[in-house]
Amino acid sequence: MKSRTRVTVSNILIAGLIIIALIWVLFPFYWAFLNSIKKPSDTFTST
Amino acid sequence: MIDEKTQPAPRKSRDLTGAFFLLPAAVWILLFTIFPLLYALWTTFYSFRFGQRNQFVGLDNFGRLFTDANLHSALRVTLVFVFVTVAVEMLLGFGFALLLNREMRGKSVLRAIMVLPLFATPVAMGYLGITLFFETNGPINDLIRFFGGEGIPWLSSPRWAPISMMILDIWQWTPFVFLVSLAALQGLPIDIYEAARVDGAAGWQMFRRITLPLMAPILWLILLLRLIEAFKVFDIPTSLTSGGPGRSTEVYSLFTYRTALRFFDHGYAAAQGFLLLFIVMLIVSLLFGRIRELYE
Repeated sequence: MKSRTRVTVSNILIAGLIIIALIWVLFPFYWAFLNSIKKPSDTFTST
Repeated sequence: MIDEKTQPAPRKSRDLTGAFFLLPAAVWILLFTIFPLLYALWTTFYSFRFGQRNQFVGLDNFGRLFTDANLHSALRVTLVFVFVTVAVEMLLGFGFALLLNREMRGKSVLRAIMVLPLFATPVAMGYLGITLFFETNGPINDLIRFFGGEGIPWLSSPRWAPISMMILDIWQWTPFVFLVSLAALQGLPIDIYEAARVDGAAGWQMFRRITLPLMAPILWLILLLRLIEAFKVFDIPTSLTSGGPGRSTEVYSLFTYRTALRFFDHGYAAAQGFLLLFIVMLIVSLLFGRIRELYE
C-alpha cells in the first residue's frame, strides 16, 4: 500500500515536471504565432 | 626470380602518394585557418582611419586590451553570461533527459517537442523576446501581476536585462544538452543496472554510482561545446537589447563587432579577437585534459 502511494506521488511529480517543461518550451512558439496574426500596431497593446 | 609486380613501391614514391592525399587537407587548413589567422595578426599591428590602414603601431592594439574599461565590462558581462547559462543549461538539459529516458506514453512526441527551440532562429527569438519581456503588457509581466507581484523592468533595467538575455539563451540551448544527454543515456548498458538491482541498489544509488560515472565523459564534452558557443554569443543580445541599457548586455562579440564595423578600428578589433581566442583555447585545453583522463 505504502509503495503504491509512493509510485502514485512520483508519477504525479513527473507529470507535473513534464507539464512545466512543455509550457517552458512551447509558450514562446504560441506567442510568436499569436503575434504573427496580429497587426504590427497591436503587438504591444493588451488584448 | 623476383616478380617485379609484387615488389613494394619505392619508398620515395610511397611518400609522394601520402603527401598527395594529404594535399587537399593541407591546402584547406592553409587557406581557411592559417591565412586568416596570420592576416588578422598582421592587422593588429596597424591603426585604421576611416576604415583604411593608417600606420604601423606595433603592439599598441594589444596594449589597449589591458586599459580599455569598456572591453573589461564586455568581458565581465560575457563571463557571467557564459557561466550562468551553461550551468543552468547543463542542469536542465540533463534533468529533462533523465525525465524522458523512461517508458511512458507519447515519449517520442515529447522528445520531439523538447528539441523544438534548437530550430528557432536566434535573431527571431531576440525580437520575440522584446514582446515577451515587454514591461507594460508583456505576457510574463501579466502573469506576475496576476499572482499579485509587480511588473519587472526586464529590458530597461541594467540588473534585469542580462537576466532576460540569459533566459532566452537557456530556452534556446537547453535542448542541445537534452538531445545529446538523452542519446548517451540510451546507449548505457542495461545489464549493469540489472546487476545493481539484483545487488539491492536503489534509484539514487544507481544514479550516483552508475549513471553519473558512465555519463561523465559525454557531459564534459557537452560542457566544452556549450562553453565555446556561449563565449561567441552575439545574435540574442544584439536583437533583444542591442547591448543596453548602458552596457549591461554588451557581450564580447558585440563589442568587437562595434569596434570593427561601427568605429572601423579593425586593428583593435583583431586584437580583441585574439584575446577571446586565447581565453577560449585556455578553457578548452583544460577541459580536454579532463576529458582525456576520463576516456583513458
